[in-house]
Amino acid sequence: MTGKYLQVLKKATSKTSVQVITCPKCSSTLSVKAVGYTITIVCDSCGSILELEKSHPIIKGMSTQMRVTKQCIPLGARGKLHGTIWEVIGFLKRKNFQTRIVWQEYLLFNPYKGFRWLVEYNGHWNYVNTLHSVPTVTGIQSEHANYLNTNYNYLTTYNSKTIYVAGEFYWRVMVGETAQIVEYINTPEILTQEKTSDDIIWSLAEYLDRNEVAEAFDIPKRKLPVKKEYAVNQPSSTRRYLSQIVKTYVVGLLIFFTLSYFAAKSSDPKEILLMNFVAPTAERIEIVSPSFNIDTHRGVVAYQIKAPIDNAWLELETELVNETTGETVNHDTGLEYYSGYDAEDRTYWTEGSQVGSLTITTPKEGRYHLNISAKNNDTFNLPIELSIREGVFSISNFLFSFFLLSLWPGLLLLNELFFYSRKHNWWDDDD
Amino acid sequence: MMLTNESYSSVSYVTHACPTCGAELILKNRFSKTVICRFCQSLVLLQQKDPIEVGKLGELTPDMSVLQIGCQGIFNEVPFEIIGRLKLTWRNGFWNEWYLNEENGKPAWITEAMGFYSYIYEQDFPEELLHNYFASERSLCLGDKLIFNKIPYVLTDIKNYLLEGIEGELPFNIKRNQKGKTFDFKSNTTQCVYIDLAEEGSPQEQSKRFFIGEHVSLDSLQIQHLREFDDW
Repeated sequence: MTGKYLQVLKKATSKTSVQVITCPKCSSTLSVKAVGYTITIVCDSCGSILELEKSHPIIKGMSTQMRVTKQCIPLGARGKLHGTIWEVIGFLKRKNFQTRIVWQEYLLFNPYKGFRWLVEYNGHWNYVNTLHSVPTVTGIQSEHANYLNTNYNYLTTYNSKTIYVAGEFYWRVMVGETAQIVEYINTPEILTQEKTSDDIIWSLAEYLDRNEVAEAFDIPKRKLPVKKEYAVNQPSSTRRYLSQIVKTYVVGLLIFFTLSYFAAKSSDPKEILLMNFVAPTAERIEIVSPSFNIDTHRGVVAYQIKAPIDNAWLELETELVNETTGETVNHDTGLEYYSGYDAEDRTYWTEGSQVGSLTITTPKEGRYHLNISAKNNDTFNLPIELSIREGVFSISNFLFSFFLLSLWPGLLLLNELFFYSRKHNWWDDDD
Repeated sequence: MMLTNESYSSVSYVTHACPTCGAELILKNRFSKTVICRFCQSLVLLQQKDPIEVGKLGELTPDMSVLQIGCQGIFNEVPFEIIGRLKLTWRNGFWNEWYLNEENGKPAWITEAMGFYSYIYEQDFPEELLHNYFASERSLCLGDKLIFNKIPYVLTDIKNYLLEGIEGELPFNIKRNQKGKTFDFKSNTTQCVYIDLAEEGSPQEQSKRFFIGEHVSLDSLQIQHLREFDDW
């Protein structure tokens, strides 16, 4: 379309969006916010329920318990939820016939976005959108409802009665009105079918954290009702971060595994000590190694011991001595190896190993030697090979890093599981 | 009558003189059949011969609708402009039907009720199809089901309406205080069907109209020149 083609009608009408009416009962002045849409408005001075017939107010009834009822978000308050500024224009209190539970509903309006609801019960909040499609109900006993390819499970059916009204509404509202409500759940959402004598309305409620409500309407948290018990569609506090955390964790693991793989492949261990000595049977032998250099840039340092022991053990105590500072570090290691023939099973068996290794915390750079003390119970003198290598790929470091990396997501997952088990126990106990 | 052809191939408009006040009546769609004079509110029908005035309509009652004549937007990549409005009232409120000039010339409307919008196209009334389901359109009941183009619909709303007034131009003739009945069919997705039955004796050539389309969000239509309010 071209600009030339356009001819916007610039009407002389005022841009003010509020319409003012006078209560026919008490003569108070009322301002209508959703001009044109609103057909019921409650006088905030005398509680008269007025219907606007061609903008002329007609008294249809009275709202009750004017002084008893306190709204925690006042009429006229504006707040930003899901990116849209909403004004609270109506307030209802409704009661469940069977359980006598009372809940609160706030009607929200924005001329560019239409209407939404904020529903509060026991300090739990839901943001509710009226649907313009009809979800498909399936199952022999209508146990499922499907809306936009999401399945919701049947939760409950109850009857409600409106017990208090304030503000304005785009339909005829009356105290004492009843409706049948059927709920289907898929946490954190609830799909609701509401049947009145006039029509059937479907809506979708989404659990809203109390803090979001307080923040949106700039109300101190203590002024909002305290959260009690669990709401049936309440997600855990970590749930909304969970998928993000899982994604980050998976990406983190991939990077970690890739790096570890290349580190393992490219590790180029360098032998810095290789010594052979013989340990006499059943005797402790003390021995000092030649001096060697440790260059910390190369990474992990590991000992390796080899000895052809058979049905015996070898105990090795080492003292790593820094020749410059005199600092020492002690390590204990050893080998055990047993073998035999099982006559019953007709099998050979072995236990333990003739080779052992020990990764040590990488010491400071410098010149070192080892003081070795070895003892064994083998039946003949034992030749021992001891080597020290640096730049080794460390499996234990790898596992420890993996554990650290998994700690935070793991705890969150546990928290999630505990939350749902607590919530379900609470709901089960309640039944 | 004067036909103005602009240099843009598809853009042309027709002007008439208001039979009552002589002011210029500009039609953005040369096939429009009804126009209301912006200056004297005369309801003018455009028939074969000269335009005839059939009465005056009052100013529309104020409402918070954000659409207005002159709004331009895009639906499914096709640009449109709002050129007419029907405002209808029923027992529990009102709704608007906005007549569009779509660039490809299809008869498109936006219906607007309580902040819900549907973008719909008028189609030939599918007599036979509907008669497979119902004895007559007038016997339709809430909950009635219908399958159209393989999509199942359910009748969720029947409203008796009274025409409150119009703005701009419309593709058919109307009369003051026209009455009728609408039937809203919804699906389990955004698709929707509307049937409009005008009261007997209405001047529309077709007393039965059939619309098919989908529920849309205002944002998705990328509309420019929306109404503005000082406090919003």
